Amino acid sequence: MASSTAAIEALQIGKDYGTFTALSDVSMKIMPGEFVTLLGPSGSGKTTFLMMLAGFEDITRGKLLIEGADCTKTDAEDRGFGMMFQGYALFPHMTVAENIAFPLKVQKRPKSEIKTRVADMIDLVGLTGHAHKRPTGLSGGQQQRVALARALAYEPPVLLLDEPFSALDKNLRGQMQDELRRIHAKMGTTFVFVTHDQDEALALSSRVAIFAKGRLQQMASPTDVYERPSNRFVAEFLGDINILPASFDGVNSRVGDFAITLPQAPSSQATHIGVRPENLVLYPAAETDGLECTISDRVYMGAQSRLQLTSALDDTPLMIDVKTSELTSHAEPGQKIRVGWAGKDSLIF
Amino acid sequence: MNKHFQQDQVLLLKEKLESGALSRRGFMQGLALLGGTSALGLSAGSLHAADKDMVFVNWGGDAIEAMAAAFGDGFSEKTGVKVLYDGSGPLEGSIKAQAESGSPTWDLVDCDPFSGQALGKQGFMRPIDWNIVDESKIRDGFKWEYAASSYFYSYVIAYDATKYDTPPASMADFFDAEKFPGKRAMYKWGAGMWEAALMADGVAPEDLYPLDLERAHAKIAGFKDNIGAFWGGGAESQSLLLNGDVSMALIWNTRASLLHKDTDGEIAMTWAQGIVAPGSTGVLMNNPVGEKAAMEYIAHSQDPESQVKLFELLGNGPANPAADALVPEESKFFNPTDPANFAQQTPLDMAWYEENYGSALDAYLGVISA
Amino acid sequence: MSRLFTLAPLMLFLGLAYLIPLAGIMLQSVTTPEFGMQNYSQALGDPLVWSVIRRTLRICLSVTAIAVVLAYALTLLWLNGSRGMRVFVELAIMIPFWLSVLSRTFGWLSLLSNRGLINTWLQSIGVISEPLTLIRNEFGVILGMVHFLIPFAVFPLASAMRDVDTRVVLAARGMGASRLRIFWQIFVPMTKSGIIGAALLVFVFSLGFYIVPTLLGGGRSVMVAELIYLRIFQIPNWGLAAALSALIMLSIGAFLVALIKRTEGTMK
Repeated sequence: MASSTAAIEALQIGKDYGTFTALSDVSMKIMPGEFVTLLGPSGSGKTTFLMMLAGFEDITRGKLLIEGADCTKTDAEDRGFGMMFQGYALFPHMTVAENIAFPLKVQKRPKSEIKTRVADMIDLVGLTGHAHKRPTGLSGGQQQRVALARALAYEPPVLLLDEPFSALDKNLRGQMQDELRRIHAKMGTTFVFVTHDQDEALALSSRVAIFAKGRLQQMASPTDVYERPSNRFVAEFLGDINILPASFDGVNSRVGDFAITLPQAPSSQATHIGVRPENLVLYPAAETDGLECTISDRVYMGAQSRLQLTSALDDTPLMIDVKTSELTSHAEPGQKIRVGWAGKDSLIF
Repeated sequence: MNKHFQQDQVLLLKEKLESGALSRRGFMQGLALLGGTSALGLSAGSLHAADKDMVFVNWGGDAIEAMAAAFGDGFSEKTGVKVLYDGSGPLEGSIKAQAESGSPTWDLVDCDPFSGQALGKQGFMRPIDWNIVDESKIRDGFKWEYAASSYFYSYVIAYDATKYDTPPASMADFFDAEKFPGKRAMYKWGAGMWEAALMADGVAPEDLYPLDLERAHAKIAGFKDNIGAFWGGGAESQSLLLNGDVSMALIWNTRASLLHKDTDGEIAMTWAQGIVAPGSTGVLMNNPVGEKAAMEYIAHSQDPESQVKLFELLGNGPANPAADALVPEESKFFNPTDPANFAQQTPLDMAWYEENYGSALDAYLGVISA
Repeated sequence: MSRLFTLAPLMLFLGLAYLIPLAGIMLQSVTTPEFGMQNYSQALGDPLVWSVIRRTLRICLSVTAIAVVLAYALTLLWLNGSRGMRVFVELAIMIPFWLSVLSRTFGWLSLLSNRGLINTWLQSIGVISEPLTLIRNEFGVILGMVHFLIPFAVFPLASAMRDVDTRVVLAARGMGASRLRIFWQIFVPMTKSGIIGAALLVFVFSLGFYIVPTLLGGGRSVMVAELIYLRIFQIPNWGLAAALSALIMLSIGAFLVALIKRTEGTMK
């Protein structure tokens, strides 16, 4: 397979339930070996899209190509994808080894191959010694590993993961994320991973696809979606952001008296400037430039502290993250300060 | 055996009055079976008699009214003692449960003579007081220490007359599937069937007792493939013939005469080699109204005209021989004790049944259900 | 504690209405007519009892197998069918459920007797010339009992099937397993508890059947319940009847305990 052929290509895919449109016009290419995360709030259409990729939901509109071939109407069982479900979906009446062997038996692989493959997979996910236990005898994390081993045992070209870690506690989730990244790197399988957890999405994936209101909002690398969100929704959904009304004139823009020179002229529809809290800069006391604000609260977060501010301009609340060591004792609620930011850190909406 | 017959009478009136729709008939059939399960006299039918009221336990439903019309109303008029008919069904087990309690609520029961005898010998029944009950109003050979016969019924051959040019004339014919092709039905609880099998096998009626059970069972076992059903209740026996499930059956005369009348003889009956048996009345030991009143009731029920009335309502023969002559001419053919009919039949030997019925029935059930 | 308190009246009721009479039966089986095990030795030495028990087991096991298989198919239709199918199945289950066993039995009689609907119809279209004997034999008994017991099997099966995580089935589909393989290797094993529950319910219930074998069996299919009836009312021998009841109760009890132990064993 030429590497230029997408593992999966969606062409303006849509999904209707009666008169309700769950998904419209989603187009994307997923290249072999990628780790793509579908991220969005619940009801955004990300899970619907995954189920359509898997073949468990019919595609109402558009086309789905798998390795270049039209698979819009292909049954789930014929797509050959691996799938990991929320809640593991293990076969409760089978042992760990039997669970992993099941897809291999479906494919009628030789017995000896099944045996070695199962043993390899059990080792890969770190469950050596648990082969003959039933799922109910395992912890949540261990069950998750079995599900992963089962989904990868038959070497599917694509593994679809539907919020697989949502039931795990935070520590375990971190461990599983590391594990997943390691296994992805080792196996080279294409991963399509659904989550509503943005940290998870940013940490794991090579590209993130952000869904909202049944549409694909942006698909780009984690850095790009965070630093260059294509719209205000994406910007607000990923991390915190301050959004201020602004006026624009070519590359020159103003927020109140504060003038910012932008790297390039925005479109004529631009009305606001967004700045991430970590990109706001606390100006020295003598400075007259910048935006005048009043500190309303100060939150200690270890190395960093966050100041909650109120803009003198129009009472808009703002957030700024600064190194705790750089804060003077004067940075107390009620005190007036000035803040500003660089033109390159301005996000235009 | 007999208790099923008695129970069956309950249904006769009701069915007569109705058009004979099959489902309805079926339903009644079911009631008959269920009646048998109303356990130990604890059913809703139990009545709480006032001081002077007398409780006669029969098989429920319309037999209550038939017996009241034939006997109870007249008795109340004469003595002032009201008779309540309780339809709980005096199965032998139920009578025993009543009697064992020491203070029964029942006075009189419509029971098998041999049951009455067996229970009486265990001290559960009062001996019949022949100073009050009139021996001369009872057919010879049909009175016992603890039971006075109160009516007669028979096991007779009923057959689909449209299927046979010559009617069956003996038990040998009943057991001959070549001469008389078609399925048969027999009685599930054995009584009368051993006699029929033995007569078919060549035993003379007068030599039947003591019954040679092995021979009877061998005969029945050899004939089993031709038996479509063993009926447990009268309505069932009737519907077997009506539905065409069998073309010949050994059934009670009450049912047979009903079929005969209802189908204008398409389903006919014969008294030939019938087996005739009495139903009887017994009195519970320590009965609430006392011995005298109970015996007087039995004496009252010996009145020939009352007995003819019961025959007209339920179809069973009078216990008092004087009553046979009072039966209207056109009904005489259906009276089991009419001299012409009685002569063709053999009476069940109650003494034999008293001794052997339990073990005989066990063996019989083993044979028919094998 | 308060829970125990609210349960107390129920326990008392159960004790009075159930356990005491039960104890009475057990007691009677060893005291009537005199103290000793003679009723048990008589019951176990009676060839009629053995033939009735053999027949009862044969009929009840057949009924259980057939009823559970049919109920399984029916439950699948009920839970997965189209809206119309669901309503239809629901009615098919519920309507006979409201009818007494007696009316249903007579329904079968009028349907299956020699001049019943089925035979009349088959004869009129010329499929058969002589009526088929559909009732008054063991076939009739099994038919009537299966019909009565199917709804009782449907409910435990339905609850087991509802408990099956659909994602597990989807997972198997995603691995390319055929519907047949998913059904036999995934779905059926996952509803095993429902199957066992349904089979137990049907089997234990079927052991006590009285009316259906009596009416549809043509008098020949004497089962245990009828034998006990016979020993209580027809030829009263209460000690023997009590011993028979106790034997059945004990064997069912032993059977249940053994089964529970076994299922617990396989779960581990």
